[in-house]
Amino acid sequence: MAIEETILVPPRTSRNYVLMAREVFRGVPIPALLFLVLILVVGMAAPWVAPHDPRAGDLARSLLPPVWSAEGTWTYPLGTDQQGRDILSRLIAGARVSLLVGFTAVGVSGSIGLLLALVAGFYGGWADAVVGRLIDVMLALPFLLIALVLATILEPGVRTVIIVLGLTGWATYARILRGEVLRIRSQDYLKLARVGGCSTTRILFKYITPNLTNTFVVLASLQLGVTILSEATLSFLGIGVRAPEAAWGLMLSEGRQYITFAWWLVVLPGVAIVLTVLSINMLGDWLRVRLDPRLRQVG
Amino acid sequence: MPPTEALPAATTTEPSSAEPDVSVISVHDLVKHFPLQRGLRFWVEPPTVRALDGVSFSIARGQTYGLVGESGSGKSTIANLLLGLETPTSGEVLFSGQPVQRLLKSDARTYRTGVQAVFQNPNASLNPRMRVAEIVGELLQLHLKLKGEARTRRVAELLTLVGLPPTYAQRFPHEFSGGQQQRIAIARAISTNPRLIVLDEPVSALDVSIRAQVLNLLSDLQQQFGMSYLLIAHDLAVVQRVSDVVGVLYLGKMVEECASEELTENPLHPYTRALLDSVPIPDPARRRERQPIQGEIGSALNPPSGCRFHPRCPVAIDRCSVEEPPLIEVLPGHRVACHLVDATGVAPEPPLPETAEVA
Amino acid sequence: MARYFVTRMLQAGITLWLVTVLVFVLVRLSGDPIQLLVSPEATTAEIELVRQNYGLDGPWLDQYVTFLTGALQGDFGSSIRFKEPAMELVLERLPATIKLAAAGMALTIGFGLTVGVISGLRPSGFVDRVGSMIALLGQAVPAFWLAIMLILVFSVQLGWFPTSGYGGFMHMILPAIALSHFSTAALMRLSRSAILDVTGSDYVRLAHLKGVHPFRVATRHVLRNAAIPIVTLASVQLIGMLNGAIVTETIFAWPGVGRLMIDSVNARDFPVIQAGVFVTAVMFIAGNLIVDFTYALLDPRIRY
Repeated sequence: MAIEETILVPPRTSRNYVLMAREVFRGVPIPALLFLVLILVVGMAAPWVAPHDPRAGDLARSLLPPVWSAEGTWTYPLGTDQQGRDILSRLIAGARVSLLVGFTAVGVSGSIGLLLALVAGFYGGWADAVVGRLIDVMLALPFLLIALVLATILEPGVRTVIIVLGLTGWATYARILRGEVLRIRSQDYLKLARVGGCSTTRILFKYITPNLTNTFVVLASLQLGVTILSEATLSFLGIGVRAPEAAWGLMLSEGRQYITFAWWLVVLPGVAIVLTVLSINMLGDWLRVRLDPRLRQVG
Repeated sequence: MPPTEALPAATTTEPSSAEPDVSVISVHDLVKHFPLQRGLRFWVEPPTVRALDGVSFSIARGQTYGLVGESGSGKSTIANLLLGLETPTSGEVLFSGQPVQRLLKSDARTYRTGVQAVFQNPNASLNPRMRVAEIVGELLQLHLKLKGEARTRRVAELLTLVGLPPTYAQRFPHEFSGGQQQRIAIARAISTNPRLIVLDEPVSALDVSIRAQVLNLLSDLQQQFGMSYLLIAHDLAVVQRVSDVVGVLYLGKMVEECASEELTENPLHPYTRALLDSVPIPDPARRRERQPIQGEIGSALNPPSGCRFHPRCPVAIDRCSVEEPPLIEVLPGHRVACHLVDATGVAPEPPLPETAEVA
Repeated sequence: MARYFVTRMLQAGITLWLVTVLVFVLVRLSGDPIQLLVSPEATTAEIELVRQNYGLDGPWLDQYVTFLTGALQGDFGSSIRFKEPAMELVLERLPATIKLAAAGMALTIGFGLTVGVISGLRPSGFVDRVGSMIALLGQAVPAFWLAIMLILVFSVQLGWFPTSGYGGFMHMILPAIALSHFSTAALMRLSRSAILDVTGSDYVRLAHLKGVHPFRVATRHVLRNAAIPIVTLASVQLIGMLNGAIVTETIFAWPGVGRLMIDSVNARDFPVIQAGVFVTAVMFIAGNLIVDFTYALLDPRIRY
């Protein structure tokens, strides 16, 4: 019996691994990737990388402009704020907060959403109806108001922000992943799993969930930017980290009153936010194109 | 292909000697209705889709039973019922003499190792997140409790049996072509040495050049291991070539059943004859007068009264719209459901083409 | 078809009810407004009296029943801060917010949709490349920062617009931009890809092959079918803007519902919070219903 042509399957040599890696990363936006890596590294190493203590200020040297201005110095390359704290160090500390909150909150809301999507999509019927109503309710509630209310219930701080963002952000995941679960269930390999006598647990863990990862990763990367923006907004409103800690949104609200003569207090943290979210979004777009073109309609 | 050693016997038991039934699987008066969603008037019974309305047949050991019908005839429903994916509205499916529903509760393993399936779309039949070794070896692990070294060896054996190099075991399904994927699906299906494999359009999604290869593979495997096949297809040519026995379904009922050669030489039911007429024959000397089927298959929601085929039947008489013809054996091994096939087994002659109405 | 409508209405009703329950519970968990009202030396008895006055004594279940019965008649209680009916306070300020949201919507559709459609019809063209960059940036900028920057540049430095306050066009334009920038960017990208999806499909290619004039292809075939996802997103964004108004109204001192809400949360003015959330939820849910029904009417595939 003739075996048909051996196509599609190149041998796995080390040289081919390099080629495969190049193929996997094809089209990735390099500047975005580099910036994000930089921020990640700097953020994680914040306590060692920051030139000054972000919380300690030298009042004698407050409101110094960045180094490229007339009175700027290299000691404080991006200037100082109203309490004499080094802006660069505070930006670095803020990066740490934003990334920490961003990734963790995405993890929390993603997990909640995934769980509900599995329940709704797999069991259908009443479970689906209930989860559907929960999603509707979540989306109908104004995020900021709920966040404000929740924040007054809980103690202020990073943990609260994560909880608030995690508890309010799961609806998008649930809705989209539920659709995916339904799509997967209609596939023949699911039918064959049942014909083969696979248990419910096995089907959930080996068949449905692994096939959700692509969509999940794309969704998470898209939501990461939104989450960081929300975190900045919450910090701006005074709900996130409190003084003397540093967070980009907090820096913005503190510096707002000095804006007319110390523009760097407001512009620099904003630029940091924009660049970070921009990089994340660009990478998310690239991921979406690579992994799951169906999600193009989402925002 | 060099003979391989026989696969180790599955853990099924032989039917008890008191049961003379040699069939691997038999189906008795199988009925399956699907109720539609309730409308606003939820106190009224919703209409039902009558997918199957009393079908009976059986498949013997080592036999290939071909099931033919248009879409809407109920053939996929039969597949789902035989595979235990749905429960019948009434009637029974017996596997080696035991009711399947009971078997699934008391001894699911016997059934799941004894009956397997291969579906139409090879790409959708393999879990994209599992490696080939996992896919082919899954049932071995679940039901036969094979692990580690032993399982790897068995998987390699199975891959060789279907004509794939065992080195491919660590790859993922998307790295293969359609024909190769179908082979992987077949390897998984035979892994537990099942008595019966349900093949639902196994080659319709493959390139024509590959079809013959896969059909030959299936045929070789059957010779080696003595499995029975239920081959479901809409393509009469494929079914005829590969099957021993053919059953023709129309709108939820079986209208004819006979041996494969008999079907070609002496089709009795008007629907079967029309189906055969629509098979193109390359040899001009053998071409018949063409009698294309009129109209479209009726609705399973509201099937025609009496014989379900009567609105499209070229030889229908008054009786056909009133009384449903029973499926009776008019010749040895040949059952037909038609009023006009008399007891001697002679088919009714259709009117000449000129007088037939154009649709 | 009727079945679809009825089901959706029922779902909407349940959702709305759940919203009221959730808000009711949450605000009561967040703190005690009475503490903010009474002087520090008040005795327990006096505090209880005040509490009774505001209807905040007794088990929550009773309070909720009172609330619900009142709500069904349109009575949402009295504001703790202003002693006026809570719903009236909300409805007073609603027009201002709607004005702003409408302005934002006009920007979103006028700018976002137009650029998006043109980008989709002429991909890689000048409009597309510039528009894509703007869209990318627009989705990376936080609303409050954009608001502050706009004020800094256009009000303080250039003096073109007033920095804050309520008024006509000049007062509206900066807040409208800050409010709508995210949706504008989103709509730009979505309409672009919707158009691209449709242009690539068979029936459009067939129309081109048949020699139909490109403009006619664009309007009759492409736009009509791309309209559905675009309409959906646009309406969702509109409703989203009602929520986004909170930050914008605060920064621009715009006397709308958003500002009222923030102040109420800080003051723990339960009735006003409940009334305000109810109103926005009603608008959101009703808006979604309209979108769904329009969908069902427009797209014959959806009816069942």
